[in-house]
Amino acid sequence: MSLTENLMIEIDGLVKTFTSAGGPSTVLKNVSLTIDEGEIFGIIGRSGAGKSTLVRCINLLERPTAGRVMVGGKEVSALSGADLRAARRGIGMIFQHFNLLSSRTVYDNAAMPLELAGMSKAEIRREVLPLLDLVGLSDKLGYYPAELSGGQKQRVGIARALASKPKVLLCDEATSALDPETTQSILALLRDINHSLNLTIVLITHEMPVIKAICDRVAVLDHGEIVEQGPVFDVFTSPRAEVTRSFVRDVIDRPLPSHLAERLKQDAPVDSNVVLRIIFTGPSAETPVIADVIRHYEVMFNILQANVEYIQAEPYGNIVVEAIGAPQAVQEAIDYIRSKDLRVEVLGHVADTRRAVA
Amino acid sequence: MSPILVGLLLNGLQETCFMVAVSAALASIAGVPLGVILVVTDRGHILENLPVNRVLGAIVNATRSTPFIILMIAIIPLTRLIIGTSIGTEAATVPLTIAAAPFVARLAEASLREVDPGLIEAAQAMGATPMQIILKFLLPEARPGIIAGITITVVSLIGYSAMAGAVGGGGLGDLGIRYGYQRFQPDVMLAVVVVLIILVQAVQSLGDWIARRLNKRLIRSKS
Repeated sequence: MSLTENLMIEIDGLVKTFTSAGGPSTVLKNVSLTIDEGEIFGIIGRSGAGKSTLVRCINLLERPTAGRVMVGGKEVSALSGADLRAARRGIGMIFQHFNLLSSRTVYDNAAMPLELAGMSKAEIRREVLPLLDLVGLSDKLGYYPAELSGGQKQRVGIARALASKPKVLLCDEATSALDPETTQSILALLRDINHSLNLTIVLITHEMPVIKAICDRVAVLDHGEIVEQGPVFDVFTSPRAEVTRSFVRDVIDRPLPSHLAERLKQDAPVDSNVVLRIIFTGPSAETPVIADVIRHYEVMFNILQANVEYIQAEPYGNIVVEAIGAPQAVQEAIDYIRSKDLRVEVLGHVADTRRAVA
Repeated sequence: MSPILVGLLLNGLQETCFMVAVSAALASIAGVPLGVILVVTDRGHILENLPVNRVLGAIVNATRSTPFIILMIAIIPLTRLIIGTSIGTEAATVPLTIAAAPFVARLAEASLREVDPGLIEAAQAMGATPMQIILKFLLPEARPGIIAGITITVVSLIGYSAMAGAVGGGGLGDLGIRYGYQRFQPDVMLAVVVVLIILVQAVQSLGDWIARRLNKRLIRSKS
């Protein structure tokens, strides 16, 4: 993480209302957020949550109905005409469907922003060739977009967005049209340029794995409002809003296998064992808490499911166990685990499967 | 075929080609910008201006719905003003141009509307001016379609020019009517029709070839 104290983007009280035949509809309701220089900031939401509109308000492709948008200390929402066009040159953008000119080659597509700025052919060449090298397309200069794969097209899009040396890169569902493998390579490229150019990246997506892979902080947008925001690790490991929980569940809180879920009862019949979900985060994931419990209490754990994810290089462990022992001992064990800053959740009870032993 | 007939045919072909070439060129010069204006002034586009859009649209429709033969006669005063006479191949280019320009405009408009709105958004995000968006994004992307539209216009103009011949415009149509119909020489009529078929085929093939060459949307394997 290359976080600095400098604010790059500041959105304050943003409202966007569209008027259509069916009457006005407010797509963004009082959205405020700040994004630091050099940060990769993710905005996640379901389709229709307003995230596309939000990112378009940053470079004023959509003009806010109310509120203020500051980029690099300049109030872009107050600009128009030539001033706005100049400000836009400092904000690169890449798109879900790439939006390349089909009539231009890879080189000429990447050169476009510089051509628009009136640079000479020689200057353009000096700028564009290293960029196409950076995105790994040096051998495809004369190809037309129709001859490229989706990932290659997005690389052209990235080179083009970087040509005018922007401070900010807006990514509008930039990987949503790509297969998972290509998505990873594009995300790796974005992370590289974030580091090497100290580029601030604002990334909107509906895919939590994308956020998990590269974002420093994330905001969750739902029905035009930011319902949650913070460092990606925190939002992942302790989601508060329902929509966030549903996003996170897809990625880390795997549902219980169906045969286990069916056996799970909320009341506690005789001869049953309690099923616990234990969540390890941060440093606690690296201490042998489970082993301690088994050594000190009259409890045994039967592991039903276990999973460790790394988010922003921090471990996040999630295990589901059947705790076998006297109710008193199990409660003591739970208290002990909680005292070690681990989260314990009682999922329910299952009938004791070791009847033969009992 | 008698040498006289061959001479007449060549002369008629030359006159037809002149009328069609001049009017197609002028109609394209006027029609393509008109098509651009029809697109960019429409609702939600880069230079939205609904009054201009609606007025131009109405003029284009009015011109296109007037039968060519009536249009040609109706604008005789204008033709006289520009060319000095209303008879002959030069004079015929005026109504032909006026009839073809709105046709080109509508065909160009259709091609320009096909350009992905995402591309215009990308252009705006790059800080392109409206003029740059038109010249560097809209027109190059719509070019294959515009060329195809101009090809259709040229073919239509060959037909229209025959009508112009009926009122003293010269050309192949004039030849066909005067010799073939009025002097009962069906062989001349047939020869004229054959020459016109060959001409239309040639124009269409050339237009298709150019449009295909300019269209980079089709994948050609390079690897």
